[in-house]
Amino acid sequence: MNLDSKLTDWQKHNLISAYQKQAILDYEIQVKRPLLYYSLLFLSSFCISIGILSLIAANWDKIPPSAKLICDYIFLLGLGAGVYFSKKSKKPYLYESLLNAFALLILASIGLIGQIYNLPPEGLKAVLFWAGLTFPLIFFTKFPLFPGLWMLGFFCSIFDLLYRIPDWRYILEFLFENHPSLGFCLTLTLLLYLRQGLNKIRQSAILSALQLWFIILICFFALWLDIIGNDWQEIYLALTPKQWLIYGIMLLAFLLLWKVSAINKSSYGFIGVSILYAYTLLTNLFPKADNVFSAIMIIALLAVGGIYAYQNHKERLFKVISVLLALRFFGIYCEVFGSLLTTGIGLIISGIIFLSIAWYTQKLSTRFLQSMKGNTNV
Amino acid sequence: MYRVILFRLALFFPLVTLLIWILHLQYYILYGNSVTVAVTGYDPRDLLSGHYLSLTPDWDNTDCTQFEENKCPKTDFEPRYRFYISEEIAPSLEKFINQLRPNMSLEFSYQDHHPAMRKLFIENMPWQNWYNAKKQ
Repeated sequence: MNLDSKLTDWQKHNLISAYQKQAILDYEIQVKRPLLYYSLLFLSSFCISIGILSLIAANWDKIPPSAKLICDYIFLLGLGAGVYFSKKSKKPYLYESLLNAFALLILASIGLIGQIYNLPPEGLKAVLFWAGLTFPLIFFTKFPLFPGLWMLGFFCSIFDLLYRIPDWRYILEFLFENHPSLGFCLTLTLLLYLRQGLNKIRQSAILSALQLWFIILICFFALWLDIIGNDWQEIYLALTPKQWLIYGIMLLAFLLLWKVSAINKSSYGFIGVSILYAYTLLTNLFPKADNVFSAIMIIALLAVGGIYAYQNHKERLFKVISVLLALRFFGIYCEVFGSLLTTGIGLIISGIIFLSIAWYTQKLSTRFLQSMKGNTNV
Repeated sequence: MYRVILFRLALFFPLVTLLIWILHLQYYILYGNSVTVAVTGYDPRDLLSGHYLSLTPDWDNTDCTQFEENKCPKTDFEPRYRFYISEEIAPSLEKFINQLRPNMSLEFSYQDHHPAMRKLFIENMPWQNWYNAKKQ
């Protein structure tokens, strides 16, 4: 139904007056964007950009190095000017796009300089250099995309740099190769610390990017641990000094995390990481029950996510979490009664149980959603 | 106003740093002492790494008299260098090098214990000349 017929329908039902209908139609005509014009504009800019890039790529080796450098630098200056003037003229979308392009062009320029001067590569040092150069710019963005990319580059290059130092390499291998769950927990703890530290600068884009990475990492780690399992069996039953050291580090990190979280009030992150710590400790003590613990860990993490979604009235997130919870319950059923699925009767029983789980999850989810809406209205 | 000044500085910082870096590299290339170091393939079975020739200094065949105290400053140099070769030429150049096993050397600009790569020589001639001669 188009807008005109919708408004006529509303007018018929006495929801709006004729005057309001005309006012809405006039307003819509006024703010309507010429879609065809913008589409053609986008298409032509896209064709021109691809054409320029193809021409440069085809003749790359014929362009003298000095010309490459000069063109690149002029382009950088032009983009820099664009960033400055778009901010000055208060065009936020243009400003953010140009700022991202400017930051990426800085990385490309470092690569170009490295190629022209045949600089030997040293891991991700070029990315670290880029992170250093663009660091001040992340404080002047309102969208989390650029800070998010910056964090990815910075943390990967720092990790790579530390991995090249023998002492640090030993520690990183110990954490991430021999005891991945400890490495995961400590990484998440460090992110919570960082969030605590950055709270003072009140840069919403940086905090959002950090929060996004925290969520991505906790999801990745939880899935990793659920699918691969905790590989700690090698030190099970042998309370060696190494194991005491691991427990000591974990306890210290946990206590400090509690302290940080108490100050920060970021209880969801704290609870999430605490669940991972608890899972790591329990699977270390009872490695044979890894499957049970991993299922409980995922359900507990999803429950925390569900509580967060409920308390913050995030309806869509709540629905997604409900579906994931139901899927994990199906997974538990398959793990425990997997053999039932090979027989006809077993398949029928399993189907009925799956239906019951789906029905009950849907019922619970609907009840919570209604209660959530009720709370919002209040 | 304070924030505007900071924003300008944040924008200028990468531009100025990159310009200083380019000038610094160019200065070393132009004004450093010229030294030639013999090189071989870093991995002789696989000379080409992407668009780059992967090379390692061959100190046994390098003339050390060109350095101070007639000693080759091995630690000042990297164990591995990459030399950019265009995509079209790279496979045939690698084939020629593998077949003929020519003597290769890299010319560096060397100043204050800092080597900066200038050119690749094959059989004492610039690599492009050697490649063109072999192609004909």
